[in-house]
Amino acid sequence: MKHRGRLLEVLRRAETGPLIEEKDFEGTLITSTVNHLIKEYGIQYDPETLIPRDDDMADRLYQAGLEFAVDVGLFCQDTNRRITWSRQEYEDALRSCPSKAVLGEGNDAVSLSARVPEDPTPVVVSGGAVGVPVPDELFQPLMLSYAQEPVIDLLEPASIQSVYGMPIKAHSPLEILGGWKEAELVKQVLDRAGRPGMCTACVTISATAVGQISPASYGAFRPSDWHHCSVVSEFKTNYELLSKVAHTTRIGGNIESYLNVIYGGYFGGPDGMAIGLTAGPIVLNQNYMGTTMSVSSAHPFLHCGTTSGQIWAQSLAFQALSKNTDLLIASMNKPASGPGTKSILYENSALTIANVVSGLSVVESSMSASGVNEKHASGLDSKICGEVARAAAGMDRERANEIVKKLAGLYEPTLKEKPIGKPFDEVYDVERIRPTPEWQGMYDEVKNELAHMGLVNI
Amino acid sequence: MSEIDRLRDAIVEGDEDQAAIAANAALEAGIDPATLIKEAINEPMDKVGKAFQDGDIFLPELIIIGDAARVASDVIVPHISLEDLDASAGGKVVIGTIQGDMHDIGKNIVSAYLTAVGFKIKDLGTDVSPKEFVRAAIDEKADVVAISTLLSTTQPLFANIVKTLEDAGQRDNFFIVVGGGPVTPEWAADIGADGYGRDAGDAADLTKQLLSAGQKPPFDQPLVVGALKQ
Repeated sequence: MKHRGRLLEVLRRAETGPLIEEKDFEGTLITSTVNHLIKEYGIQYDPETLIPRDDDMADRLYQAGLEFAVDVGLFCQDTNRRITWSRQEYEDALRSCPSKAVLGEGNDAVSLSARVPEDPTPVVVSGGAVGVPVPDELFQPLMLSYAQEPVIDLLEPASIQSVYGMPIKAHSPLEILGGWKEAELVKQVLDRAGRPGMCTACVTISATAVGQISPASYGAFRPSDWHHCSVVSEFKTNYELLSKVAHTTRIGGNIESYLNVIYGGYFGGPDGMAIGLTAGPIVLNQNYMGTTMSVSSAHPFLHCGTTSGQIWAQSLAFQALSKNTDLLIASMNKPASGPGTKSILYENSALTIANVVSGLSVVESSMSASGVNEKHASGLDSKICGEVARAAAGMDRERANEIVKKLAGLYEPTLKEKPIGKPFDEVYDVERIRPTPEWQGMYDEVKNELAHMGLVNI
Repeated sequence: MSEIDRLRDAIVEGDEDQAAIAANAALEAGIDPATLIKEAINEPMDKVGKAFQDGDIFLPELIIIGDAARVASDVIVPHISLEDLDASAGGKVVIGTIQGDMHDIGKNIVSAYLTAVGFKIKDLGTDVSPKEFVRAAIDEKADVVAISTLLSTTQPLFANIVKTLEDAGQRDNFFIVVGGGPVTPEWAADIGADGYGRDAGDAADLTKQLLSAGQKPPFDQPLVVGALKQ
């Protein structure tokens, strides 16, 4: 892609940028910069509003995010140096970022484009069990439960736990075999779903660069797939991660660059998180040259991204970015709840509505039950996001705010109970790949509730 | 304002210099050192920990307050009798993210939280090999070894730490606690860990419970804090 000419300069600056100790980068530089920018740009969280409509504050937040990117940059753990860029360099890079992209192949390819707040343009929706460990025998039934849903455009594989009976261990050859196994299983799922060209995220199990690079080769994952390249929280990279970027650049693949901001961490509360979530895609575009720039937040105690403060921060950040750039912004839904609970449907609906009306281009769904509980994911977890995303496109922020507040009122009191729900094989008939009547009934009830709340056309 | 209040305020405000001054002043005033630790450090720090869990304060403040508490503790502890020291000490924890994993913010939060509520922490950082964990535990005379990861593929290395301690005849000297994204209570049991916690608050409760259990490691079954609702 035309904006990837910076790769060598990124690598050069990783070797020559300003030296800093890792703990000073996070504990001092990030924290002091954020605190200063909150005051300078008047970024203020309003607990009564989940989807802000203050366009001026969104523009101020964009400036704060850009200034953060200039002042802080990205830390390279291998060299203890900051990869830094001038404001002019960031702005030049933002001018040449991709504002459109095609993911997948043939008739199954999907197009995505940059959006703005309240944009009626439909978003792209990914479905899958991100991070969720799954035993070999359930991997394909689980993945089919997503791929069979027409409202889901991209597939996010779960994490297989073993390969040919051996547990996958980081830094061992089993990581490579596991990546190839994942590609093989996913291809069979797509063929069976009748969507052979559907784009799939890859590779989900890889701790090392070689574990990702090996199956991103001929015969396994394709350049038209969605190659995950993450940043370590907060704003840190290393040569393993940059090697993934280098390889995906070399094969001309789609890069899903990804960054997570921790609630209550070095960025502090919602005000500071909003700055991190705005600076994140700017820094990702500059250093990872992603096709899409994905950012989301994680709560360290509730293990989700759906508290009121997190929704406010994400909504304002996505408005700031979509108003001021053509970045293709994505975000992962992280509900604390799991399959077989109404609360996961409420959580996923709330985040989807908030993100869609704030200008995001890709809804990623979902890290069900925090994405760490074995088998706790199902196709309906993502289907609700697809249906809600279509219904919410073009909605005004005021109306969206009313609906999201009602939803938050339903699920927030339950978050502390960590309602992870039931595993896949208890909420789906795994032979027919159909939800159990109980789980389908719950789904239909919530759709009715959403319609009554004002989400028409769902 | 009493000397205890003055020290408590200095700590809660995260003022290391004032904390040291107030701790010395309280000792000079003849206040029992064990009482100082309990009333001016441990009790308020429990409240600070709760405030962090509730989102009333954030990680940067927690670190600053924890550092002030550590400074005050360093002034006071040398004046405590061995008996009282055992009663008031939180214990020493060697903590790190396992080899192959560079993610550290979850571990940093646990580390800051444990510091804030009174534990001595040796933070080994990220990408720590099983041998480094074991060496640090022995060298530091730790009570607890706390292992974290965000990646399922690095979990198998947890078992190497348990095995290495067993082979070295050192297993009964250290409680082993585990946590992090993919780590489960079942996994903790499988590898022979003594405890599982889901987050920083759990880690503090877990460590306190293990150290006050009156039982040496290893446990037959891990102590689990942070149950999930099905």
